[in-house]
This record gives sequence, C-alpha cells and structure tokens, in this order.
Amino acid sequence: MTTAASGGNTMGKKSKRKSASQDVPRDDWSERRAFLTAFIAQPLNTGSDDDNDASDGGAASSGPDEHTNPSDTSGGRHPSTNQPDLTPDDATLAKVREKLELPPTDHTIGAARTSIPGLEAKGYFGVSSRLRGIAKQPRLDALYGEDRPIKSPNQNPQKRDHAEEDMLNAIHKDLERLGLSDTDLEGHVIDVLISKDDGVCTTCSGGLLSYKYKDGVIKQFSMMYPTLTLRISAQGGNALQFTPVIDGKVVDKSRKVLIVRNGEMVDE
Amino acid sequence: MSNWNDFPDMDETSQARFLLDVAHTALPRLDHRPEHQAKIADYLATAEAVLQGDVSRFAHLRRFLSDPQMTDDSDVYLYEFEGDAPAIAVLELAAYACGFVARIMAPAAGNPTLPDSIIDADPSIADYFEKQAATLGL
Repeated sequence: MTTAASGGNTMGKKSKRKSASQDVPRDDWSERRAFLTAFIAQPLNTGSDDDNDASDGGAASSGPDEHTNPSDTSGGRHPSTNQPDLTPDDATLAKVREKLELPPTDHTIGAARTSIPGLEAKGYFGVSSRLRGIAKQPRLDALYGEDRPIKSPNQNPQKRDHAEEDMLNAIHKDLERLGLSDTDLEGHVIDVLISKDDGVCTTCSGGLLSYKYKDGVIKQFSMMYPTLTLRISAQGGNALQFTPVIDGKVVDKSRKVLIVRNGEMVDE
Repeated sequence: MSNWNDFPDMDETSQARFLLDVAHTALPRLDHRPEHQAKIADYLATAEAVLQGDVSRFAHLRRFLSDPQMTDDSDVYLYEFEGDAPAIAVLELAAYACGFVARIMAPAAGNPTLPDSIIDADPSIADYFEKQAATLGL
C-alpha cells in the first residue's frame, strides 16, 4: 500500500519556494542514469547490486522474495497478447528510488523494459516533476526539447512532465535513432511499471477512454508507433482507474493492466 | 490579502488560504461560463471545508484533480476552455489551490493515494500561477 502524501502532515510547516539550485542538474546524473538503464534491462531475478559499475554484469544477488512481478500470472507471458512479460518488478523501482536518492514513499517513479530489437539491453525510468527537482535531474524541456512530440497537453505544472512523459520520450528518442519501421516493431512490447496504486492520471491517459480529454502522452506515443503494444501496470493497484456511471450506477471498469495499441485501449 | 511576494515566507496552511483567496478573486472572470463557474466555486468551497478539517469531503475535492468517472475534472474543463486564455487561467488557479489543500490535508484524510496533480501541487511551482494571476490583472 502506498501513501502518496509524503512527509507526513505538513500543516503549519513553513515552506519556501524552490531554490535556484534545484534547476541545476547534479553533476553525476548521467552516470546514475546510465547505471539505471543497464540495471532495469537485466532479466528479473538477476539484478546487480554493484552500484559502481552497471556494465559488468554483476553477480545476481537479489533473492526471489524481492521480485514480484505484478502482472506475471502466466509463466512469463502476458495473457492478452501471449508476448513475453517484461514488466519491471518492485525491486527495480526500489533501485531507481535508491539510486536517485528519493524518499521512500514519494511518487511517481516508473520503469520500463522492451522487446524492441536493439533496445533489449536498455531499460528506461522516469520520475514526476517534483521528484525530478529532488533528484536534481534535468527537466524534460532540457532533455527532450520544448517542442518534443510527446508532450502533456496541459501546461499547468501539476499536470505535465510526469514519469510517463519522461519514459515515453526517452524511448521515442531511441526509436528515432534506430529508424525502425512499423513492420520492424510489429509484435513487440513495452512493459511499464509505475509506483502508484491509483495508476495513470487522467492527463496522461487522456483520449484513451473519453473524448472529453485532450490526447495524453500515452495515446500520442501509441499513435506514433501503432504496431507496438504498450502495457502499463501499477504497483499494488490498477493501472487505470475508471468508474463511470452507467444507468445510474457506478460501474468499476478499472484496468489492472492498461494495454494500448494504435492509440486505442485493448482489452486484457 | 497577502500578496505573492509574501507567499514563500508563509507556512503551508497560510499558503493554502492565500491560494484559495486568489482563486476566489479570479472566479468572476469566468462569468461568461456560468455553469463551469458554479462547479469551480463548489470545488473551492469544498477545499475551504477540507482545509478547516472536514475531511469527509476529501474525495470530492480529489475528483477535481483527477476524476475516476472522467466527466468532471480540470482536464475536462481544459478541453472545453480551448482557446479561452482567461478561463484557463481561472481554472488553473483553482486547480492549484484545490491540489495544494488536498496535498496538505491528505494525512488527515487517511493518506489516500494521490494523483501527481495533487502530489506536485507544492510551493515550488507557484511562479507559474503568479504569472497566470497576472494575466488576469490580479
């Protein structure tokens, strides 16, 4: 169970605005990023604990109890697509948190792995805007450009630069470099795990379920890569909360795993 | 009423009250959208109540930031306000105030899991909203 209101009761606490130093990335952020991209890509149950060198294939040292894949219910293949389940596990998110020196209950952190040819050895991670400030990571405008193709439709800082936007832009950047065609990507998956049990927010999931929202980063990405399957899980909860009122009754249509292909939600 | 220059030195409860004041002051700029104005006024009243300790209304307040029914949150209003900059400024000031209150009152409400739009509603992003208020002449 996660508690998102980090830091306990803050009422009465004096709280200054951020200092200018929070806009300056820490010197070793790219080193930490490189470590995590290698760490996340490792097959589950063989995570390296060697923080000093991620490329040495460090000894497997995490016990089985530390690895709980939230959607792995079918012997390593996802039930809906029969594709390999690459969903990062809880220990992976814990490692991201540890490496970025983030508080234990703060959200949102995400990690992703993919079967895309050329990217199998690379993992992805993203954190929300506030955590990026705490971790002293560069802002998304600096990493991917202000005019990046995958961007929150909402300029309100509460609703942009989320972990999902971070990860999907990183993957998009690599896909552009590789120049793979839709045919090359056909049948491949990206598995994402985010740290919150209430799942993806309505801004990021915009356009998937309701015409009342502008297209969020998930739909934008999926429409750019229509033959790729994107699967999102949430630690300890549903990846998408959706409880519409139908015929006067609240109906729970939440999704444990949010599966998106060609800009559309796919049933599990 | 305090002003934005005082904001960094206030405690968080005072910051929340200030943001609610700003949002209330901005609300008349939504006279041309009376239905939305009434809904946002209701969410601001809910935020006032929650800030005063009535956490039974927390779930309703949370809905404004991320509605699981996907019918009545600030992202839906944003879609409906497309191209109407003053309306968007009013909406964003209200969303910040409500998110700020929800964030600091979440422990009292039992630490529910929150969307990023509440988690990120902290003082570090106030500059953006000061600018939005300025566009309304506030």
